[in-house]
Amino acid sequence: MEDTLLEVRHLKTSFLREDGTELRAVDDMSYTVHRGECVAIIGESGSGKSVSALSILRLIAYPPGLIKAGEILFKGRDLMKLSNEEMEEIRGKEISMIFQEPSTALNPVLTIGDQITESILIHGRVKDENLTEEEKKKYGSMNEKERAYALAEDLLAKVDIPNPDVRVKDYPFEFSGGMQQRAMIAMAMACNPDLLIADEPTTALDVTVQAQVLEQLNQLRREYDTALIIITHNLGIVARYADTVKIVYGGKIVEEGDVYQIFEHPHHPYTIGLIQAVPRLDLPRDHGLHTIPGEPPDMSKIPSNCCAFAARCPYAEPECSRKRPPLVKVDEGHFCACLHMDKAQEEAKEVLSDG
Amino acid sequence: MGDEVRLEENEARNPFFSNMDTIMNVEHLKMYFPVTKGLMKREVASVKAVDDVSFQIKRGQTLGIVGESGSGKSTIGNCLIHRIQPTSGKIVFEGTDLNDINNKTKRLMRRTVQMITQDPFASLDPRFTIEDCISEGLKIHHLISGKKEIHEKVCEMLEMVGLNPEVASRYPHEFSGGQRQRISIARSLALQPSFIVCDEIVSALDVSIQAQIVMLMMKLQRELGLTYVFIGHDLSVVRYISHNVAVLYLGKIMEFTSSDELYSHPLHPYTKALISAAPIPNPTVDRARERILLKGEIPSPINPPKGCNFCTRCPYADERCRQEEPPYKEVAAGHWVACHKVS
Ligand SMILES: Nc1ncnc2c1ncn2[C@@H]1O[C@H](COP(=O)(O)OP(=O)(O)OP(=O)(O)O)[C@@H](O)[C@H]1O
Ligand SMILES: Nc1ncnc2c1ncn2[C@@H]1O[C@H](COP(=O)(O)OP(=O)(O)O)[C@@H](O)[C@H]1O
Ligand SMILES: [Mg+2]
Ligand SMILES: [Mg+2]
Repeated sequence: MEDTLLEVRHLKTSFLREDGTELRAVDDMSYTVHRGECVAIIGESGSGKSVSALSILRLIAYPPGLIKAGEILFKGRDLMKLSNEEMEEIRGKEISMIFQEPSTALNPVLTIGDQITESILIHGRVKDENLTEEEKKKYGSMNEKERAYALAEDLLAKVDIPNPDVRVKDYPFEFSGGMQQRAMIAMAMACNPDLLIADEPTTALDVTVQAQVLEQLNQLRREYDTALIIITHNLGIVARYADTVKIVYGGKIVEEGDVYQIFEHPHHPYTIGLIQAVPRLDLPRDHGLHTIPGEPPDMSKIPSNCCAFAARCPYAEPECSRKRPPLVKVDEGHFCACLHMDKAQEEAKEVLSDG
Repeated sequence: MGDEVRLEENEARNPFFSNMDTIMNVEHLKMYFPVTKGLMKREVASVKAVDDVSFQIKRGQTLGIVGESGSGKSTIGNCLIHRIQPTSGKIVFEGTDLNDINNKTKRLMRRTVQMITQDPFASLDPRFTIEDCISEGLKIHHLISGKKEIHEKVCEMLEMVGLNPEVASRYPHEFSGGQRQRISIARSLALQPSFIVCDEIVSALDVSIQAQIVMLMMKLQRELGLTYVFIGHDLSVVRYISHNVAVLYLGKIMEFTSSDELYSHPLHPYTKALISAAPIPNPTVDRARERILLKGEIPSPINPPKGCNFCTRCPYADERCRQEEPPYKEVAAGHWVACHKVS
């Protein structure tokens, strides 16, 4: 496909533990991100979501972490084969990342403006050849530093920071949590990246602020046609913003499809369980939650050649613990890795139709 | 057997005992924390953490309190369990006014009223076993004595919350967040409380574990006739478990109504915004909904706005809203709102 932006192929990232065992945080994941697409990665805590994202940017520290195998084809180039310098060029310019805790990602001793302009200047974003016609009219007469500050102010205005010309000189502690996260978005968008990875970008924020920040993020990425990988636990956020969804369990993708396929025709017992475990505001109170029994797996104890969900799965048979189920196509663009998905889906139809 | 007799005796001595439908009545509760400055701790302002809040809780039901961080949820919880003394107002629990409580009833309250928090284990001594932590309260309140009896009680409690009694000899750090929450529930239940304040008890848990704990709390309520105050910031979760919900903003209740009314007939603009901000986990339903986005963030409770607390972010605010505080009034049976725009 010509609009493919990123192709992750057979990515395996492990951590070597002190006792010598290997923890397969990402165990053979493959997926594609198209230009402008919003991909959501959902999974329980510890399922490997963040590690898979950090692996794309090669931000896994060795030791104990190691990207053991896989290709990360970004605009056709394999990021795994690039030098560290080449990788630096890509980070923040072509691919940026936003983290859960803005306060830890921001440098406390630099002003917000200095931090945004730093990346603008490093990547030559305001050099004549990188300006759009409109920007040339606006910034043409300024020197590079002035241009960077003007752009930083414009970006802060775009994410609704009041009085950006004044606030650009503030230090991070002078910003509230919501404003810090919006500043992070401004910074991440400064160089007009092709791909933005947001790891739980609003989990630390208040509900109404979370809604504002996500809406801004979504508008900006549409305006700039930026692809977004959003990592989250929140199924509501996924339903609201995602085009496609990857369900991750125990370091593996267990189901993927477009957002309607996943929510309205889930096939994997884990996906089905997850959707029924979330209370729905639009249904009468006490509409019947279904729980997934048991606990998320201890990642260091699950072998590669099995279904990681077998221990909690109502449909599991002995074979599920001996064989890793392949991702099978169930519909156009919809894949599921489960040996007994037919049974699971039969029952799901009944339950989901109640809702 | 002997233990049960002890417990029953305790119950009989309970001066709170009554058959009233209302287990707790809260009137004009205020909690202002002083803000001090300098070495002399001069009081320069106050944080109006809870500012004139009134509500009733029915026996055997759950009152949900939703609000964003700093809205005063935990402070209300701490007042209800008598952990902190409110600045003013009245809390009547089982017919007893907490303002004139004596030492004996205080001790009894410490047993019958419990609080569970987001991570009650964070402050727990890692050298104590699960059995030690669950039995600690039993010993303090002299509910049970005897090694064997205590062990049996601990096992019974663990089973009640869905854990294998074998975990009794293990240590806190060996458990996941969801298991720890079950253990802390067991620890509270061991004291045979009638009233439990649950402060963000599922907020830190994974979706699948969240549902397990919510279902467990509902089952225990049915079986033991418990009354809950369930505090949280996720409207969907709070509303699912609660019979009534109070929507809190900057220390004041903006709206109070039954859980079903809350979604079908929300009246306060803040409630509407909160509902809109909670995405519904179904793309077809969610993408067809009206979207209300609030501007700005919550003002500081040290310096709340004049007039209505919500006026700085309310899309409908006018001059009156910025000058006059709206009265908190009952607009339909059991449905309370504080808004000039709602008649
Ligand atoms: N630096 C590290 N050293 C050792 N193990 C690690 C490290 N980082 C992650 N892991 C392990 O890798 C697995 C996947 O972690 P990851 O951070 O990707 O989870 P996640 O899905 O992002 O979870 P969460 O939802 O809690 O953020 C976990 O078992 C985790 O303990
Ligand atoms: N012991 C205290 N001393 C001073 N201020 C406090 C204290 N406890 C809470 N506050 C303040 O009261 C307000 C409400 O806090 P809290 O009840 O913890 O809110 P919530 O639980 O809704 O997040 C906040 O502004 C908080 O900073
Ligand atoms: Mg993570
Ligand atoms: Mg709190």
